[in-house]
Amino acid sequence: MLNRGVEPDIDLMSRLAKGDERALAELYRRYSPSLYALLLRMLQSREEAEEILQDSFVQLYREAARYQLERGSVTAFLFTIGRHFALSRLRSRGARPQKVDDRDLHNPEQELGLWREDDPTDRILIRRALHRLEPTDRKLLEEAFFDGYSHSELAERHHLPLGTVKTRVRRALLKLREYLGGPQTTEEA
Amino acid sequence: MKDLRELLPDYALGLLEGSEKAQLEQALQSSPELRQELEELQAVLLQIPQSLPPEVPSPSVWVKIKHKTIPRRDFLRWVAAAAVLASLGLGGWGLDHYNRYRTLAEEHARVARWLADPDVRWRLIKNAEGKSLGTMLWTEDGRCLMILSEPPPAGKVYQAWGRKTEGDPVSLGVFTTRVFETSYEGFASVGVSLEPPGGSPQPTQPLGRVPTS
Repeated sequence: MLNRGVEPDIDLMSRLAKGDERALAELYRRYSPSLYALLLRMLQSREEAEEILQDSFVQLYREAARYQLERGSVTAFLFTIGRHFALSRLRSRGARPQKVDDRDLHNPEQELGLWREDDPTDRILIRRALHRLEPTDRKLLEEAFFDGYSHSELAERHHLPLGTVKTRVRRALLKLREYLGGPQTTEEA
Repeated sequence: MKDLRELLPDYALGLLEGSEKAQLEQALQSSPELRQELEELQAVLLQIPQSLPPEVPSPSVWVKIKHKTIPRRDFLRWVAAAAVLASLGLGGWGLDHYNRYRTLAEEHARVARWLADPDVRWRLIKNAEGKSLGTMLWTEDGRCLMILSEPPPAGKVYQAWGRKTEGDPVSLGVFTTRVFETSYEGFASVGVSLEPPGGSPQPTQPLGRVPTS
């Protein structure tokens, strides 16, 4: 079959835990583009995003033996490592760079590239779910997740009472879970 | 005392501090329910980055990773092997990758056609533990498209099943790719299982099921 040889992530992680560098190469080929996209969004700097990407895969290599499928997917494991490193970098900067809206660090041409192992389904469904959130709630959730802003920083940035920010962030995450779980399917039609 | 469950979203985002954080962490140690809900919320959060279009990093990143992870002796052997493969051009490795990417391109084109249809409905395919295994798209006219997160493991195939409200499930086809299109007409739900090559008369290792109404 044409898909012969496409190995499940869990098998790659088992091989990686035994020090198999080909497993690391395959995981890097599969997931470096999506992790790099996350790091670019968080750090707004190619140089720093590449540095953290490198650290993340080295950490994945070192911690492969600790990975357990029941605790989440390989992408979740890898994104947790990458986000943790990026948040530490943001905090060490003291001030976060302002995202410039007209400067797109992403290359839009890659969106349609067919020669990459990138499944657009999840991206489209997750975007749909995010866009169903109330706009301010979505903004607060994204800034907490991508930029690591605390409740009080979000309250200051959005001129909202602290209690309101807490309620909205919590609501946004719970709603997103609901939308990604698909119980409101009819609204997705 | 505040319901500790309410604190889970903030904790998942890393926004909880002080006594509330300590209190929740203590409760998490003794409550499997709280731990499970926290894992669910963390899984949702970690789907957010997948809303971003992927970006290809510079090749120098991978070279640096290899330097830090692969022992030098093996690294030199790896470089030599890569040079041999490169000199072979369209060797078996290249052909295998060409076929794999061609399949992926076909899968993406099919999924893109489905997603362009405004009447398409969708739902995640989840296993008994609530872990997402993929997505099912369907339309009212009886067509459905299953998109699994991963291809089946070696030595196994996926098999799709239709179920009426009563009676045994009926096979809707066997597949070894990640994307499979079939008809669910007349069935109240569609499921998928892992089976030995060639499929089985009844599901032996069910993975998940989605109602179509």
